[in-house]
Amino acid sequence: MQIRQQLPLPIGRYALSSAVLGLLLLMYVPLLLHWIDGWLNKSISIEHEYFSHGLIGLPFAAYLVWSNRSRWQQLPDLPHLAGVFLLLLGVACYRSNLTDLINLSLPIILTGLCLWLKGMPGLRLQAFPLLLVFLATPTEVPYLLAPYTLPLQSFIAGTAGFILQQLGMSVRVDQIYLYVNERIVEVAPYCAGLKMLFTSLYVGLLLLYWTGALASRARTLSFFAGIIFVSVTANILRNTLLTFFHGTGKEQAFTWLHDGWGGDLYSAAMLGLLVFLLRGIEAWIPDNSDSVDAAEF
Amino acid sequence: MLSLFKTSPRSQILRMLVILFILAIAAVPAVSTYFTGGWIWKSLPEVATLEQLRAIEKGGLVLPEWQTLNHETVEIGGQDWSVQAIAPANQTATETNSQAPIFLMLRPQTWQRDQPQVEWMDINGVQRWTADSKRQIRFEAQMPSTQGSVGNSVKSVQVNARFLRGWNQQRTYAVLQWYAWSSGGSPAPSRWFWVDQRSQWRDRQRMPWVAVSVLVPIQPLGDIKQAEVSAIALGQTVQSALMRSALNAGA
Repeated sequence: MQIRQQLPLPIGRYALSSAVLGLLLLMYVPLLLHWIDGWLNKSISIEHEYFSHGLIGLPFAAYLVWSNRSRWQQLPDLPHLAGVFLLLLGVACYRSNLTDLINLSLPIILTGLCLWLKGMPGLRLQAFPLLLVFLATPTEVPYLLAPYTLPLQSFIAGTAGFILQQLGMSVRVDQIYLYVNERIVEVAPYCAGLKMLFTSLYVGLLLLYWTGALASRARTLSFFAGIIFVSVTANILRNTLLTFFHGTGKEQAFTWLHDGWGGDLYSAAMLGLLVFLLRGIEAWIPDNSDSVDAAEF
Repeated sequence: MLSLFKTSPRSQILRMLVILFILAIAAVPAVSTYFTGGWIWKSLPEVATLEQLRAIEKGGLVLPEWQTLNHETVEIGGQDWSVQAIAPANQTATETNSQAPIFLMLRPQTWQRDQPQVEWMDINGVQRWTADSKRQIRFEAQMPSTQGSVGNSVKSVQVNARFLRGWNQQRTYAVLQWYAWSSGGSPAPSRWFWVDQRSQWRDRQRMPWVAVSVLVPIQPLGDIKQAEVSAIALGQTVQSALMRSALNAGA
């Protein structure tokens, strides 16, 4: 009884907020460590490795939420009931037997928190960080997409074969197979560059947000179209090189580009290209807001 | 009801308490996992019949009323396939020699993370054949009830398979292909995926699978319709034999 009297009835909000944060950390630190370890050391399943862009995206999302904090506090406390449902759904997912559902519980619970604390305005404020978390949540979606990359695989095999023929190599292309000097190279679903495309689109999204170009639909669309073009081209070149190395018996070079740090270097160089692509698009397509300003003058 | 949670400092506390209560449902069991280390995401459930599946890869499948003429393990698309030449058991040696054998190609799951991928494409690649007249067919395969179950009811499962003509310079085959699992079969990896997810979700068990490709020789560029009945009959036998042995943990 004495204790109850000593406690001031409105318990400090910060105490409660810290408790919520504490529980979230308790639930998700082991999971996040598992993701990060998996992405860095490739100890996670191939499908979940596709989401390694989370290494950039998750810290960036955290940074955005932190820099939004004063705007968040200024929002009125108008809870949305859907928030509770999402929280319950998230907890059910977290307690399920499926890794994918456990993973997805993170964006679900975070969305639920936004809705339950600040309603729709809160969700709108945190929409972009939440999108970044959701797109970095590892799921088996790449496995389900793999059968649909077949046309892309044959296209890559055909183009790589054509390039090698121009270089004077005798290459035969059959569907997704390249036959060079009696050796077969298969453009497997995981070689179709879906991972590189995912990463490029994600990094592209970050760049668009960072430069404010996301506000212009023309710039956004042409940038994404450019990303797809650059990524597919880069992947054709990569597969051409791999076929060349394998067909001419340069196994070391093949392994370096296929499994070693050569592949990472190649991806990094391609991501670097995206910055120039965006610069180019910004120079070519006039900013809408600029033209409005000009009209006002 | 929502007005309860609006504006006043009391209601703010109430809302935070709701969050704490809901999160605690998940966080409290998580605490014990910190000590045991058994995080679900760290490992997939074991494949119960991995031994039997590997045995198929090495030794093929014994089919009732069929004899195996020849068996070998062949690498196709980076994976080991069990390739069996088979003939009806009542066929004599002279008949067998004069006729082209039927091939039964099996590629069982052999490790935990092994998933169906592009098996049909791999076979196309190794046979270097042209595939046409493609269509889907359905058949039922039966599994005699295991001991202990009620009555003599026969459990049957639905199998969807792709049926096509594959031909090259040497041979023309009627080809029947599907991924077999204990409760059915389909040529689409995604069908297996959802069955496997359901099995993991409900029972925390994997759904082992075997890629099956049956090659029935037909006349050069002949119509596969003539082989449809025999291909389906063989397909049923294969699915039943697989369900009896390698696909069912309880069997």
